[in-house]
Amino acid sequence: MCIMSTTTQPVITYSGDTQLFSTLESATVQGLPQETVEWKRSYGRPPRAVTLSASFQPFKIDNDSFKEQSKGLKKLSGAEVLHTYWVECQDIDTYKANVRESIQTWFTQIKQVECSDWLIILVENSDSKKSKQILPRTTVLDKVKNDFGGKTTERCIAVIDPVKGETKSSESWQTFLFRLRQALMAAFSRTLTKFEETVRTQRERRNELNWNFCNYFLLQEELAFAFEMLGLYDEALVQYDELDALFTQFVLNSAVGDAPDWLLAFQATPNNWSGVCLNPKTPFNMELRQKIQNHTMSVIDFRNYLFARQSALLLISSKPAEVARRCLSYVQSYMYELKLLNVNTVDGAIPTWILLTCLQVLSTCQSHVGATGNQSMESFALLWNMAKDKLYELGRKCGLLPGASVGSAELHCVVTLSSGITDFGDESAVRPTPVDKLKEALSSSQAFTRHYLELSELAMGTFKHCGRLRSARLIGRDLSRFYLQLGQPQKSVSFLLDLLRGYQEEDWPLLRIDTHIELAEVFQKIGDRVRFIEASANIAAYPALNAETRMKYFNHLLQSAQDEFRSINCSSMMDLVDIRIHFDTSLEEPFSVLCDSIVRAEVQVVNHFPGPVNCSEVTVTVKAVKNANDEGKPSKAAGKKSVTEKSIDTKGIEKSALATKAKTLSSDYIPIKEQLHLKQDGSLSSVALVCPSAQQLLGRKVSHGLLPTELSVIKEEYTHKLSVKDVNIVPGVNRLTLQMKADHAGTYVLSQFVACSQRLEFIQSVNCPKVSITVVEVMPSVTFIKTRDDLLAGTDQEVELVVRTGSTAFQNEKTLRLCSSRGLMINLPKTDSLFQRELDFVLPPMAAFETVSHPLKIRADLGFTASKEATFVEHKLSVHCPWLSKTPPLLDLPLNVYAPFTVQYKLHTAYTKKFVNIHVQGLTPSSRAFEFQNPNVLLPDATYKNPALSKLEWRNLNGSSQTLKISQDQPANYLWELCGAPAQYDMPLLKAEFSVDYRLVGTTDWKIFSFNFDIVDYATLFTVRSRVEPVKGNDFLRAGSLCHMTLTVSDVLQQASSAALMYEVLADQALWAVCGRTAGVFSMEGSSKHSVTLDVMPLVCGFLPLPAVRLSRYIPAEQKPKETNRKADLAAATLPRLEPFGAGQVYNWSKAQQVHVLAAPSNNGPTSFDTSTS
Amino acid sequence: MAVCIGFIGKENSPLFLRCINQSQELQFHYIMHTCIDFVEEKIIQSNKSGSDVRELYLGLLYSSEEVKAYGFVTNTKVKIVIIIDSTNSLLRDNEIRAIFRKLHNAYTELVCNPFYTPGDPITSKSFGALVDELLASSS
Repeated sequence: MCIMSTTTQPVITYSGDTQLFSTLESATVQGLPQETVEWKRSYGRPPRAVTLSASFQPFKIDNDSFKEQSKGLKKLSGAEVLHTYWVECQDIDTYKANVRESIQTWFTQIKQVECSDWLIILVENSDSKKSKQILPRTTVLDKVKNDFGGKTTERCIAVIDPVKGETKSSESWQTFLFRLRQALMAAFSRTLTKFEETVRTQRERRNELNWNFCNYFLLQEELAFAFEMLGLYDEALVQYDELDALFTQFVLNSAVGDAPDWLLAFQATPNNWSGVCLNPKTPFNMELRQKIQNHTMSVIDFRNYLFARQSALLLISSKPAEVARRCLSYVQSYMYELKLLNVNTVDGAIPTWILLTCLQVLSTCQSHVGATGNQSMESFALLWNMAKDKLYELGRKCGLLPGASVGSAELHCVVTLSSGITDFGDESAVRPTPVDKLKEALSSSQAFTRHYLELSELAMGTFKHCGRLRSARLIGRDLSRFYLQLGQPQKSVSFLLDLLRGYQEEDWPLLRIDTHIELAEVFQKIGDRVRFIEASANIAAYPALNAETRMKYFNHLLQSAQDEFRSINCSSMMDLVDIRIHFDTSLEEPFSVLCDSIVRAEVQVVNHFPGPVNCSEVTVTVKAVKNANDEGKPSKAAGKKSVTEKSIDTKGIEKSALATKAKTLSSDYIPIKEQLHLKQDGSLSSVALVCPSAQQLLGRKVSHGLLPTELSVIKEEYTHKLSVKDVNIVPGVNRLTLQMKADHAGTYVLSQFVACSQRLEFIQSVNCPKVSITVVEVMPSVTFIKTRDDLLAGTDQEVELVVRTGSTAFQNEKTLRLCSSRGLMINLPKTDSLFQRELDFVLPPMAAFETVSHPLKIRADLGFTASKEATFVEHKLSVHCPWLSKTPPLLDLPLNVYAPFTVQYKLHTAYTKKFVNIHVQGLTPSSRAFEFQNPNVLLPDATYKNPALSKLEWRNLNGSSQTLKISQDQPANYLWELCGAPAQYDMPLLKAEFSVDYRLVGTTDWKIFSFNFDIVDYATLFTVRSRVEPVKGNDFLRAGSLCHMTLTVSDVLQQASSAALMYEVLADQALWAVCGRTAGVFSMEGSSKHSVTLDVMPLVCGFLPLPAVRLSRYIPAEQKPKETNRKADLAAATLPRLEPFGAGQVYNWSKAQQVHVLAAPSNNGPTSFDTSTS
Repeated sequence: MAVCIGFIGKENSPLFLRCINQSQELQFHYIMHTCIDFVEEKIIQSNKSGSDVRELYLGLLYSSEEVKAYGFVTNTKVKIVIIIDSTNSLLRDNEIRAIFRKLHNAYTELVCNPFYTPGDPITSKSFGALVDELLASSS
């Protein structure tokens, strides 16, 4: 509780039995504030629960005070608000005798004073109650109420003396206290209202001449004291805030108009600048209040006092953060007031005052803040920062900064400032107090440095703690300067770099350059040449800076470039604005160039430096893109690599626009989906292509976020570089033409722009957008072109050998070696060489993409036999190019050669005569027909050595010297009769050769074609004759009637041995019905003829072919087959089986014979019997 | 009196800064940059309060002996900062709000220009003239 509380308590007077009251006084005084009482307030203000305490004074009538009070309430503290009359009266008689008289006297007295609230307290003994029971309304209390109470009978209270100590007494006492509180509250409230009225009246008079703010201040402060006494700290604060505002308004008004006289007193030069003492109990603050009462304070004193009171109220309501927050605006508005009031101060007094105030507030608040945590941190940080700045200012004034010299002026300053700093006499303060600290800091340069660094660290730390990184970094800037002054430049580097990073990240160019300038200074001091260069480069390239500074640092840069190696990110110095690569538009592949060609790129570089930069080399490095096709896979014969990488053209497109495209580069294709809209019946209504992420892709792009600023740059590895040597890059736009030899196929992306000047490398990434170059390599190729339709075997054919150089030129003569596969001969027609399988072909020197064709003759063997299917043969022609390093040296070119004709051999039989038929079928169209002549059939000489065959002889049945033309439409047949063959069972195999001269129509040379074939089974063993006759009695064969079929098998050689034969009648079931068995086994043993008769029935009428008869050799189950060599069939040999005869071994006389069958007899048609041969 | 008006992009890079006294430009840059701290703090606070309709005017951001900075943040997180002289007691909250409204309108108009990419430094002459006019009229 405040020290003023005893004097601010309202006063209750007492009269009557003072002896009695003195026994009760202490109990009453203590009892009053024990419970709260509800305060109902005027003007619609909300009711508040308050605790009231009061002091008691004997009532006395005072004429002076009576006069004063009639004018209005001047003073609230110590005002008499309630009058009490204490009496102890046991019975009515005594009351009537004298008590009533004295009360009456007192009652008239209190009616005369301003405040006329009263209470009559009748103190009773407990035993007096008994008498009360006898007659109601006859107690002393009733009498008192009757006599004085009037309408307010509750003002008369009876209380049982608690001193007498009975059970009932405490209850009665509490009731009494409650009534007393109520009465006091009501009385106090009334008084307060009156006082407020007074204050208001006073305030209205503020523009009168003799009005004094100090008096008014003290008056309204009484209100504040009263509220504080009631525990209403916020209400008390409001009073001070009103006073604050009023004063501020006066000061502001004084600036524009005449200042009232009383304000002049505030302009006194302050002689104490010890800052605010937040503890109002200190003698310092008491002194200040005294000064106000005496009207002798300066504005600094007044403000100190006001702020101290405000802070005290805030702290008591646990709002230390608010104190810190107010302190800031307080200090600022205070300085402004000083200016407005033209207060002369000692040099340095104000910063000292601010510094001490900040420190005071901080130390007090931090001791209070405890767990309330972070909210106050922001204000604290600002206070620390302000304290730090002010200390620096003081240090400068007093010559305490590092490196400063201390003269008499500075010493004088220290002495003067120290004289104005006094201790507050606050015993409770924590040592060292801010005053002690300041005194120490001013004592020596070292102490100053220590304190300054401490404050800076606290300010920085607090800023960081509450997340104000930028503010914290800005303190780093002050610190870096301080360290520079201290001669410790290396310590300032980290602060500056931190700042720089922040400015670079958020792209504040001006601040970045300012930091660079400071960094350059630091680096120069600590001799860090490398980083000095970088800073210099940045400064020199900043266009908004003055030319002088830029030139200075540019010269530094050029000088240093000679001896320090450094890579600098040059995006802000030498800006690569545009790259145009001259692509080879003749190629199918977009954005591509030919392998081994020179790639040219036009580069636009904007030099931001103030002077020209002489570059030994300007390059754009190029990186190969890892491509799946690239690794290990040999290229195909066509020699062209397909690269699926999508590339983006830079031509004519603005950089910013490209940035948006960069996202969609390479694999990021725009996803497009197909959407089918169906009608209700399920049929297609419409089809649409939909991009599901259109929202994303079509969104307006903000360029800023896409281009991250790189802080440092590293030269990346590269495979190739576009480069130009010895270039002078002048300020402004430079157009350079860079070159590169594209020596390997593949896809490349541009990686970095590098400009080398002496030992410096200016590097800039060209990653965005990614520009890619596809180097296409077309391999040399060798192919054949057929001059005509199909290549034919057996005759000379001409093809064209075509050699394309691809993307590489052949500088010298090259030799191609051609090798053919078996059966294929080649020949170069213009040389005299023969047809051979290997050939060297000399190529003349050739330019890139030149084509040379050369005719080549090929001759393929007619290397086929009687097979019908083999219409063509796949030949191969291998090309050796040993001088081609990149492709496999061997190329196999397929070559399909077609056969011009096919040949078939057939053996024909007429009873025992044998004929050899050679059938030649042409496969070529008639326009490419072949001519045949001199056909001949030969048996090798060895055949005739066999005595059995010695008589063999060919009988030529062909026209002697006829030339036959053969084509697809025109086959040829040659026929010879084989005479003189022995008639026996086992005939030896004959190996015959057919030869003929042939040529393609239109050519001159006859070539011999020979065809080997084997003749087997050329002896006729059996003949079969079948007849169909009507049954006896019938003359004609009729459909539907039975008839006989007679088979007659004759043994031609008459030596048929015991072989069993089997016949089978194979009738067409639509024509013939065979009755009974269709097959039978018989033996020719003993006879040369065997006949079988079967019943058959023709089913239809007309000329019917006789049912066919097949004769086979029958081998019974137990019998071993004739050819025992077939071991695999041994198991099968246990079963009977058939062995067919060869084609020439059985002659069927009746083959293709027909019989005429008449219609069924019911038809009565003509009947005839006829056999006819077709 | 308003001495400086600045626009800061949503990535906290300066878009535009104009001040009456060119020699103070660097100092104002530093102040503007520091103001981002306060703006961020205020935005977080207003987010915490959770009201849907965000008050764009942020009020006093920063005050020192010489200057006071007032802040405003658009819905696209572009910050507008007005720096006024501390000694100026004539510019009240309402006047400052009015200036912010005008600046906001000017910025909106600027962004409507298809040739301006949001996030790029503002080079529009008409925009600059408008800001200059506001600076001159509020002083």
